[in-house]
Amino acid sequence: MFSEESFGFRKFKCPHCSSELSGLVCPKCNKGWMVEGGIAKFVEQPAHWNLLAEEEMSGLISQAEKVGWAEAIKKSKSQKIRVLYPFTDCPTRADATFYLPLNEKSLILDLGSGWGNFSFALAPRVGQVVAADITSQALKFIHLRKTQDKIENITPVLIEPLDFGRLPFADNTFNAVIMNGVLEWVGSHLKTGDPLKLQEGCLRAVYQTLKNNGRVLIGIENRFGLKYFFGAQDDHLIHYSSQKISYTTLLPRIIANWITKKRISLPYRTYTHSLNGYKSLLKRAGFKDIEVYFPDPDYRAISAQVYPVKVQEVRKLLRASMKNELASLSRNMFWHWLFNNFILLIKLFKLEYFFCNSYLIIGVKR
Amino acid sequence: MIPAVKQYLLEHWADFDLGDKPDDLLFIKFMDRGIRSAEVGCLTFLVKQVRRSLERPVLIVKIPRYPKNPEANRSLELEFNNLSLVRSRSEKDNIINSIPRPIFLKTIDSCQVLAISFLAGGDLGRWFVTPDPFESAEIKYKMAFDWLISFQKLMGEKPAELDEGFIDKYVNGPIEKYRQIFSADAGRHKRYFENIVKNDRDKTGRKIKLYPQHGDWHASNILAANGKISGVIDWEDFSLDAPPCYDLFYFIRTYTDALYNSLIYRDDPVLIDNLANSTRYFEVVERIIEYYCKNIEIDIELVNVFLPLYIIGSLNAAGDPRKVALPACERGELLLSMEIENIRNLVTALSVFAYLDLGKRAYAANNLELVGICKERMNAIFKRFIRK
Repeated sequence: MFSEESFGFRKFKCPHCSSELSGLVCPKCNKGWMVEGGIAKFVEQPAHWNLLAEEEMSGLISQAEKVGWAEAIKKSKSQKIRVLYPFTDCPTRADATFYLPLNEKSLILDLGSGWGNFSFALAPRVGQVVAADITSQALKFIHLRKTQDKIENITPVLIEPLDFGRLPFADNTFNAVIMNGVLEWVGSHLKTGDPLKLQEGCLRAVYQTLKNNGRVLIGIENRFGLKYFFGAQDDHLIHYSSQKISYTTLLPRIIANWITKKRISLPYRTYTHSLNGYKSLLKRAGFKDIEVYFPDPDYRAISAQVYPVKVQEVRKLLRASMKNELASLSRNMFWHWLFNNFILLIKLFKLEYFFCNSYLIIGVKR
Repeated sequence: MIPAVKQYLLEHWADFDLGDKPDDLLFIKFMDRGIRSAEVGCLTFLVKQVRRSLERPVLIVKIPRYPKNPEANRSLELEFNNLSLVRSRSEKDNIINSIPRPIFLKTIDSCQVLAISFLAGGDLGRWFVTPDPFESAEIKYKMAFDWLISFQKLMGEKPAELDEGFIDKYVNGPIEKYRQIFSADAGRHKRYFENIVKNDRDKTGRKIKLYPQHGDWHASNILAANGKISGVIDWEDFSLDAPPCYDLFYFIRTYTDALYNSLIYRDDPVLIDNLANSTRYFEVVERIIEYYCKNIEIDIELVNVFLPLYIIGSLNAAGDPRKVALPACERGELLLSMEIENIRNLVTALSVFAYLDLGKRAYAANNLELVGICKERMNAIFKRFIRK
């Protein structure tokens, strides 16, 4: 059960009735939660989202217990695991968090923490990081790593899928919430309900947990990213099937849904949005003063160059990408003519920044 | 962090002599080149001012990734102090326009922040790309060393003599430092170190002139615009006390590395062979050594005596706790074990790293035949250089 000595972060609320918890028991609905293996658990039904299958992840964790987490990844027999090392032990991936007003006292929620790359990158420069995820194994890995590296200010918390829009954290708690590659998955756990509404609900819950002037930082793909016009694979459907499925983000969702049901027997629920779509989604959830950045090459990169989205450099970069993509297009005259005119229009109206492949978006709670 | 820096800059704009106060400031974060360990690294931002919808770059801001890391903070302090020193000595000369102006080193929101002025220009690594890489190399070498010679002369020389004092300071001192940084026992590279001392003693009594060295003199740190050097950046490693010709060797080594790197992506080991044995490239290098030595008045015979001092010095710099540049340390150690005695050998020996990188690339692509060829080529170079 909960013990003050072993657990730094304590500002929890009941995910069911939103009452503040005393210890880990809800005084209102009497539901009791627990701390097990250094992880606070606020779920009844465990869920799973991981880059590795459950069995592979268990193997990695037991190996990490024997030889240390870094060695277990670096020297794994599985190439699939070995290639993850540069992304796991990589403080530079979290450099975009310097656009947030953080300091040594800040309290951060790494929502959808995965194996904790952002949490570990942030821990040395903030007060406390809460690493929240729906996958118990990912949090086990975080707990193991923090124990082995003697890091005391990371608290792993097992939460329900974000589709439910319920977070077990007290209102007005965090200085910042990080959602890197997370929001687009909200809606994919529940197979019913409009994913857009579920994403809005999740952002409202995030808004609640933030202090006044607190920020949310979202790293996410652009629905109208340039690469998708030139046939790049859907970044999210790739996790469900090895089939190459392209153009789904660009199409009306009803058609994308028809395609995914036909090709992989699943509904289309990993919604990404346009630049204006994100802005309006954040505004509906209550956020203000929205800032947008373009991470080049990508928000998941080991070290991205980060531009405020409207600087001249973004225009130049996008123009160069358009030129390259056009040059690599098949010699079909019709497509060339079509894309060429499309690009001319974009240039004419200086709309390049609407076509960045991904964005980093910051919203403020005022 | 950036919101606090932005607020500070806007509030104190008038103090920085940067012109009229802007309407807004935009911060572009540069990519981390991954040379030094991320823990001791700093983030670099280009700050653009916006006035009446017009953008203009004005500042470079550096922030330690981990504000409490003493090594990262030391890097910022060194850069600030070195820039202040260099600019104070060259104030009346044109050269000052190509050295960033230190604007402030200040603790903002519990984090040390360095701001320096922005200098325009594309880095020399990308400038003058001609179809002929050797012609391009010659142009860039000439530009880089013309600037360096002017700068070093402006900063002033220090007469010295090759004697026991010199050997203690520039040979024994760095060897001892190497042993400390890399926990090396006295037996490691003993023969090479003894030869260095012997070669220096053979030249006892020769007069030389010592000049300050930039310390990180490679093409990416040199900016050019309109065919001229417009800026020289990264002054953290500047030293009034570096071994002679350190910048000369540094540029040759890093430029040659870059030439090899440009070949790796063509997956053809023959191209690497050709460069390793290229008489034409070596002539370019020889001409620049001659040009530099003539202008800086160093006896060209001494170049090979000073080369090993650079090899040890650059390895020590990579291993310094301020950098912990592990890949550079591994390569520097390998170079040390090859007992390089002259520039020609250095150019050839550097091909080992090109084969190594090509081999890694081939391995990732499952091209085992190419992996085998690279291994063979590396072994041949090791056999040539590493004496039993």
